[in-house]
Amino acid sequence: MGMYTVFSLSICFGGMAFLTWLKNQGADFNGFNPTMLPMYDFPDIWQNLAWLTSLFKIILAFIVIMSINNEIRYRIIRQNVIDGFEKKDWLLSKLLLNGVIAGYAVLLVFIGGLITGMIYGHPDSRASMFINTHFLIAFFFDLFTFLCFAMLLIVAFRKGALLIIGLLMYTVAFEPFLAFFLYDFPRLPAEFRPIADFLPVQSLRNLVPFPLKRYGLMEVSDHIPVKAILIVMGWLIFNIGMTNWILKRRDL
Amino acid sequence: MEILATEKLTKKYKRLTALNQLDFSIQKGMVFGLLGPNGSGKTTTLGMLLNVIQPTSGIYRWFGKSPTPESRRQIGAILEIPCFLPYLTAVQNLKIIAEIKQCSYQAIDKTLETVGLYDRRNDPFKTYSLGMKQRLAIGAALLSDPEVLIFDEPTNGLDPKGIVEIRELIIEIAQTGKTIILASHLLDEVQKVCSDFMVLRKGEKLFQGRVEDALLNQKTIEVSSPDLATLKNALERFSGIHELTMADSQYILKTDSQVTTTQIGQFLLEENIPVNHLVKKEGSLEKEFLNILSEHE
Repeated sequence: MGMYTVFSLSICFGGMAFLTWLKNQGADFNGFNPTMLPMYDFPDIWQNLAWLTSLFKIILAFIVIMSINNEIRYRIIRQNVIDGFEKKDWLLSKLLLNGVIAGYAVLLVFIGGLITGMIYGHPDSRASMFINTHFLIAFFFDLFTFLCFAMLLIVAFRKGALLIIGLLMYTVAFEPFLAFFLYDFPRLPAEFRPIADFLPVQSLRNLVPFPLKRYGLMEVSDHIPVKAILIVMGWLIFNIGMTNWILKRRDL
Repeated sequence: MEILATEKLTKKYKRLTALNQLDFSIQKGMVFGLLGPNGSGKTTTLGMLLNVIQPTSGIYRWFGKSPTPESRRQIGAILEIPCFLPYLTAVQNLKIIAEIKQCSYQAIDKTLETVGLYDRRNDPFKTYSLGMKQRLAIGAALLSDPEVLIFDEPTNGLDPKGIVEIRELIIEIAQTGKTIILASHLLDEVQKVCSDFMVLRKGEKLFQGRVEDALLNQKTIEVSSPDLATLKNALERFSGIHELTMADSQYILKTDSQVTTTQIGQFLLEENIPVNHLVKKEGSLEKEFLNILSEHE
């Protein structure tokens, strides 16, 4: 279990480092020099990094899925309940796990952001470095809800290996495609479009709005949409509540 | 004091009724044997009492009230096969259990000694033999010194020495006044250890009663003589014999409880009847169990 944590966290960090590296290698994108992108400038950096790193949250979900799958497979949960552990307490311990993982990821982004921001960015002042860090909070919320989603899925389906592949496909391919279809497909009646905002993964992506458009001189929202917060809150309650309900009702 | 009571406890799966309207209760200090053929609902019952299986209907009460986390911490249990984290050692696994039961780590070493695992305490669980795994499970149940112990086939996988050790352990624990629920197929063990027992079959309760009473019912005396005819005459005149049956050139007597072999021997001597076989046979729970099962065919 320790190994998984180290492994996937180093991917997280490594992923960030890779992006950093890539962006700074002067790779040629259509003649446009990407190092010119002021990606690491404060205060934009928080939104940028939060958005980018959020793409890798599926790896963190794997930790949760593998850990709980292990407990189900070795019947540890059952043994714990026999020994007197309440199912509710087990759920709380998993929420704590999710919180710690999400918190750790946010911490990494925070530290990485400070460091890379100071190297590549041009902070005006101490204070200006910390504007917009609310995106980190949104990032935490995003990760935590996603991990709870993964927790619900593994508790419901109990097959870790299949779920990992399934969730990967869903998060990286299926839902983005569905969302794109709902948002942008020209022939779709307007009533259908908002459904996309309610999809489990898309709603999380809405928390930290896509920031890289601003470098195309397009307007980018600078704040976290309240609607997204409410929807994600709803998903969080659903994920935790359903998990609780399944645990209560099911024979171990 | 009532330790456990169930009312119409029922568990139904799609097509199978594993347990049907079970009513029974256990008082403090009983060593209660739960007997029944495979598939009779023993493990299902215990599972429901430990919150591992959800009842379809019916209720149960621990210590006279609805189950609470505190009441469940007073219960130490083994159910079916022992499940511990394979890559952790015995000590580490017991530490986790101590945390759950909210008891101190101090009892861990002593418990491991009691079950004979002290030497292997720092080896990972996956290196243990079945017998050792079973011993660790027993240790885990004993760890917090609970008021009630539930043992589902505790001697499963143990060598004869282990079986004796566990039996003696159970008797020792029972003598401290704790309540024990023992589900087992080894009727011999149950007979030696239990004060009360209940028989289940296909989810129905067939019988509940004291072991002592069941055995008393069965006490017999075997008598034989070279002269069977005279023997029979004499026995028919002896008061206190309920039943006289013949088997394998022996007479098997069912008597009042105060009738002893000495008295019969004395009587036959006075009648000048030669005796070549005079044995008191204690009842066996196995016989009683099989009787109960066949009565309810």
